[in-house]
Amino acid sequence: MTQTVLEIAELQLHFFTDRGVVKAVDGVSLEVGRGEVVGLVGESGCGKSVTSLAIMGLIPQPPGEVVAGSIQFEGVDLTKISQKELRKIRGDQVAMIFQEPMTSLNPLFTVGNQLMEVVRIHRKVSKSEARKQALKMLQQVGISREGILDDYPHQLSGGMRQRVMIAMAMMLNPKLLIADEPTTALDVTIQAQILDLMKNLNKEFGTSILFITHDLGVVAEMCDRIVVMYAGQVVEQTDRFRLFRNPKHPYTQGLMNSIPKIEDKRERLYSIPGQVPNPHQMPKGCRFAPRCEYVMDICRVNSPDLLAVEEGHLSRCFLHQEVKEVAATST
Amino acid sequence: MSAHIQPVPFTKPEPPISPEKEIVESPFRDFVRAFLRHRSAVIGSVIVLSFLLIAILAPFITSYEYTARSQALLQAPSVDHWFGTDEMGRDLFTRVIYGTRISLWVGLFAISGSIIVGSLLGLIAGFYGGWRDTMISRIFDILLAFPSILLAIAIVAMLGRSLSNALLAIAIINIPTFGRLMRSRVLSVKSEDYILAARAMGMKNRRILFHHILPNCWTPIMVQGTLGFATAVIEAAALGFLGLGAQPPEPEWGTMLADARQYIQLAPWTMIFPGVAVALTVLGFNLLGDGLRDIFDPRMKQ
Repeated sequence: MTQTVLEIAELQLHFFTDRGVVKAVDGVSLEVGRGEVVGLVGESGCGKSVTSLAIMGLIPQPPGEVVAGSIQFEGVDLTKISQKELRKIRGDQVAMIFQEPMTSLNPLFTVGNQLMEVVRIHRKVSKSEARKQALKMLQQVGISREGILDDYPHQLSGGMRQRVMIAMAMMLNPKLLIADEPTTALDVTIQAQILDLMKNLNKEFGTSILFITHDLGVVAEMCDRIVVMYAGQVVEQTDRFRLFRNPKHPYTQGLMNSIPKIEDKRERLYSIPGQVPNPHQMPKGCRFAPRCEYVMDICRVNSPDLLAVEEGHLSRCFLHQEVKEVAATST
Repeated sequence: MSAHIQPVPFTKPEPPISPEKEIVESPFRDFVRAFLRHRSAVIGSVIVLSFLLIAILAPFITSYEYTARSQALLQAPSVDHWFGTDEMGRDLFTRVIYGTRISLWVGLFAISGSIIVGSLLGLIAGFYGGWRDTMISRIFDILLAFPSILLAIAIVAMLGRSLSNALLAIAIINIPTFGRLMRSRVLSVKSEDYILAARAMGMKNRRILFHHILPNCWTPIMVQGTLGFATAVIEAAALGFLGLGAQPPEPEWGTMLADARQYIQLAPWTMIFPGVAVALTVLGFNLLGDGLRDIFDPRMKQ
């Protein structure tokens, strides 16, 4: 983790809608180191997908706009450069795979066609060379069947298509792979295969992965470091061991408790009470306050900052800060 | 908890899961099979194909010239003149046969023109949105505000009466149909995941537009084009009938109907045969178009 590939700093992304401004991403900072797998976790609508699209420069504009902050990729601020420069980076240096393998491939073209297209957009290579590369990459993702290049997407199963998508994303050996819930739409057995595959690619090619998911099980399997988002903000950030052993933020604790445990005798599953706040009307103070078990008076008035609870473990909650202050005053 | 579980009634065992490697037909084979199974599509295509053959083989089907006059005026159908003769003694069968050429030409060119211009405008409106969309959509609205045949009459009146102007007028009045269809199709294809994926791969707008969006928009245009062909044939005949389209002695069906009007009681065959020709052509294209629509509609697939 000596070098960072991606560094998002205080990113503010707003959607200007008829009903007012939606702060979809509100001051998000995160880093992805070289060869690192970082998990971005949160409920639907918390801004994790928007963050990933912002990295790619794929937020429709208007209504979306990066209001403040920066996205540094290899020392280049992606929010400042032109569409043309961005296009050169997309697919080549930063690639993305999506949630729905069933609809992410163009139904009218063969797999080979689409894989070769990616190469030929970014590199000046002959068709036969591109074909060779495509075949090689398909073998890397575990498809060695002859003739796959001439298959149409509808002839493949969901798992196969996701492999093809991954091959497509990895074609040009990108430095960063953004995976937006790549296994959500797949069967559990296929899920495990795809996760294994991504882990292998990460090791073999040294590709950094930003893994977006709401599945904590997947996170535990995959990620070195985890960023938990809630309502457009980062609420907790640490490595996976600390997150699972010792979650600090009440929201993360709630997420952990929502996972059923086999030794549990409870008959009902735990769920965090309440709902994600309406993005048009964010609660004053801490955004999680209305749903928090440990809510204090201050939480309803002031918004806590994201502070280090200990070395390498950030949390956005007054709870720890107060504890610390109390501890500091007592000694 | 387990004490409360009711014994599950015995049900039929699930059928074995189908093997992973399905045998999938090629999309084209699929289409051909569905087409052949669809009765009206087959009937329609038979009618359309026979008219096409008639148009191509016209000089071999009849031995008369379509302008050749004879002494036999307004004769009833006979062995010499299968459909009889008109008021100038011309062989009606020959004229109807050659009329096929005109109608198919008009339909083909007018509809191709509408499709090309309409699709392009619809593509731009749907893909870029914003002021381009507003401008193009309003133009379509204006064109659609007039009854189409009235607009065609106005255009021909402005440009002068001739077959080529009629063709142009028919092309213009059909533009908004294709334009709107294309626009709506582009709007839905644009939001597909594979378009987002294409963007994420770093493709240029133009490449996405012509290589990824356009090919996915063709099906409804093709269906509408077939149906529009029928409309164009009717519109050409209507303009001809009003004396605004093909000019005599061109053997255009509408013009022939107009000429025959005076003799409807004396020699009804002069009206019946061109009329039947128009009706049959339109029927053929409509059946074919309806069939194609059913076949391409994903909801109709079993």
